[in-house]
Amino acid sequence: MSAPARLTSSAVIAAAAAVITLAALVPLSRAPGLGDEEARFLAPGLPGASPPPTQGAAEAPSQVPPLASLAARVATAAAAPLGVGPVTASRLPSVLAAALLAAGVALLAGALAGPVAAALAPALLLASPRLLAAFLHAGPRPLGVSLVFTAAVASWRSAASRRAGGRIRNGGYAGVLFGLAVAAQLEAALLLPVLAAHAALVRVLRHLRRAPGQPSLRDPSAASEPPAPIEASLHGVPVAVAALAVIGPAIAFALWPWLWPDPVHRVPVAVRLALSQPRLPWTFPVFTTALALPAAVVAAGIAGLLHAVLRLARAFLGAPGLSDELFLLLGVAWPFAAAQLGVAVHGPGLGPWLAAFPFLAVLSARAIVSAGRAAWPAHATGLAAAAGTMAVAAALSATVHAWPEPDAAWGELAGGAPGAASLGLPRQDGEAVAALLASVSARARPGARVHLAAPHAGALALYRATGQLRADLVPVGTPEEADLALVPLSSARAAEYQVWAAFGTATPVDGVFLDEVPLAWVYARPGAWR
Amino acid sequence: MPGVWFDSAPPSTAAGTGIGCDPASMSALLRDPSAAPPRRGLVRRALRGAATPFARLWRRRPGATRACGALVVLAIGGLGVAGTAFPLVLRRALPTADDWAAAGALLTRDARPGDAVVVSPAWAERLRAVAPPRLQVLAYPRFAGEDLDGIRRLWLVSLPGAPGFGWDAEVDLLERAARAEAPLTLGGLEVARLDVTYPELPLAFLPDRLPGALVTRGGAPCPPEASGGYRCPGAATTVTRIVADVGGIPRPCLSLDGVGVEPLAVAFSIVPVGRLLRGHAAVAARLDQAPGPPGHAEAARGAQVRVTVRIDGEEAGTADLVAGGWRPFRIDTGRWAGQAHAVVLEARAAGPASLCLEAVTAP
Repeated sequence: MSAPARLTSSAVIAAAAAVITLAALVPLSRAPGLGDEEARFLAPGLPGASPPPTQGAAEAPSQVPPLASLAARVATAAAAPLGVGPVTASRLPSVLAAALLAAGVALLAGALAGPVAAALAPALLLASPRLLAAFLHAGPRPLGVSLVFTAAVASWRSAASRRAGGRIRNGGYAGVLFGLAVAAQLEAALLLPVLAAHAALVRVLRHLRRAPGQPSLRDPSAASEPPAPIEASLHGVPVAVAALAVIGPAIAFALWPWLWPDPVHRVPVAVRLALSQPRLPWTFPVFTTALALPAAVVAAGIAGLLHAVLRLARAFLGAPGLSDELFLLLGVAWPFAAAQLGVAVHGPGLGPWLAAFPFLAVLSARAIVSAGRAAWPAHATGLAAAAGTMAVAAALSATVHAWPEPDAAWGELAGGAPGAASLGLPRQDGEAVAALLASVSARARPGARVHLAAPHAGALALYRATGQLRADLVPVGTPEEADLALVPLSSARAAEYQVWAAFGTATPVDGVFLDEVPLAWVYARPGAWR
Repeated sequence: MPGVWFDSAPPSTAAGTGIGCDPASMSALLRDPSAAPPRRGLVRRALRGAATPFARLWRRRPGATRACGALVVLAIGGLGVAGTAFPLVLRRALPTADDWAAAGALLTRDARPGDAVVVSPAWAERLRAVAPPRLQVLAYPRFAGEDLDGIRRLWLVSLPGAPGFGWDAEVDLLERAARAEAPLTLGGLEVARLDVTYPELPLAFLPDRLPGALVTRGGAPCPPEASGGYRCPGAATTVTRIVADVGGIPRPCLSLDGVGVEPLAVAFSIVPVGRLLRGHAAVAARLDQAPGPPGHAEAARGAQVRVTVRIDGEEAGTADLVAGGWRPFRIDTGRWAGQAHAVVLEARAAGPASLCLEAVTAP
């Protein structure tokens, strides 16, 4: 297939991926419950869901980038006339971000490995329960991840453009998207040093390698030896990096009113807040990823990484594609590094290093296509499509099985939810409570006082606002003053034991389970449960 | 020339030696020691013949790139098939709602006072919802070193097909209890009854006696609160009966929050006393009340609390408890055994600390 035809087919597949993602995720986004992180994000913006006195917010809302909350408010206002509830409406920006990401991933995979990879990459990214769940919750993370990825791809296309106009145009896109990403999530700012490091590394490796090979069509450093006129005027700095450094901060500043009165003092405050995240053990992100995702998706990811490393080694020895491979590998590596160094915002599940997965999906899809081509050249497409489809089927099977608690799913390597519980891994972030609301609304006595243990107690008010919890039930802050207690189970059980002590019983009246692993309980005082 | 025959002659040419492939020839060969070399030749030829297809396959093996590609495709496809089937396999290995209901009915029918239920693995706490409320449900990963106070019989409800299931809990329990009868299988559940060999039957569990106690700090009484606890005036000191999360395990205990230099005492007026007062405690530093230079927090984290036991005003013993874990202590009360006495638990620490204190009097 010629390059233009490949690009066209990839564009069609990318558009289809975006439409399918949108069509699938809009109805699905109604189901998952509110996790602690999402409740913290939504509670300040919705009437009647103010933070409870016992669980104050960790930071003032104005000190965090505003784009995600702005998008949630706009979506809520726009969807309200259509009868869409505030929580579901607040999740629409995340769903849109997922659609944008699916298209971007398909385009990049298609450009690297053809239409089969373009079709597989978005499916590998979004079919797994944990990754799907990450894009079904409101919050800055899905928007930030999507914008970071598209900014990175735009900068890659800028570097790949042969003409100065293409470089400048794509660089401008990259700068704008980068600014929006930073306005959504401050850790997105790490993309700038990563891309700068990429450009520098490419230059160093090209100098170090033994024989200068045939330059890649998309290899910016190859094209910049000697530098193109536009980059020569920038002292060799790639156009996209320059655009990120200039346009990005300007846009982020323009979108963040809190910074306007005193940027000199407030920017360091916001940066300090972003850097004050807990550091994770160095093995934690890698092992959590391996245990949380379906084994076939993990295997595809490992194959993709090894394939990219091999291609990088070959490129170092003279083959084309040095810049591409380094770009993709850095795209996977930096979110993991940021999570371990305490730079990424702490969160449940795979969230802190979520930005790695679009790149990992592209690498996985390309590795499957390359493996099919190597194994049976005459039937490469069919073979790759079959293997990829089986991996996606495993992911979809896990999602269907875990639904509506995709946040609680664990992969086969962990032994599913039971194996993960045996290993002491966290069960969820409070989302499973939503599955108990129907029975609580049906069986709680009129006017009962309800306590939600552990996650942000604003979630109860949000459930009441969306009609999932009966309106006459009264949220209260402590189990001592409650008639009913909803207890999501995770690693720490202190809140549940407090309910035992207050209610004088350890026998729940209802529960929600995934593969027999309890995810949440309802406890009731005598007479409160009919 | 057996060697020549061994290397070159086909089996059919060996007919003159009386050695062939027919059973009679083989038995002759087995009887005649001098015919051993031809037998080795036969084995070697047979092995060589059997290996020939593999050798051919090996010669026709794919190149490294093709093999790697095939391996990746097979691995991803195979794992995909396995992953697709995994939820179904898991569902078949685990108990159903009916199995749980059956276990609940069994326990409701057969459990007696002094019984407790152990679930294995420890996360299988669905049993709490079906077991009769009077039964204590113990969901611990291990039982070595755990007190089984007041328990005469144990019902071990296990999920042998669950991923992550191990025999640790059962092995620990079998050191202290004997299997009373063969385990009963209820679908995906297995229910076994164990009789505790030497039941430990305490005389009094002191945390449960808090409502009638007198709490003082530095000699000044701390008034009771409506919630059932006590709060000392002028200080962030409380004494309550809680269930604490100590290392992931629920521990019913007296929470002495804000232990400091001044003695915090809990006096129980009438407690049956035996030969021993024993218990456990978890000590934690109150870092929020420990302002100080760098390094002070580290010192506070290694906090130490001294618990003194007084019976009828006389000191029976002390225990120095340090932070970290569920620390046991034992105090000899033999002199007062056999009667009810006034018992005082008094705690003091060099720095602000919290204490989760469980204590029983044992015969």
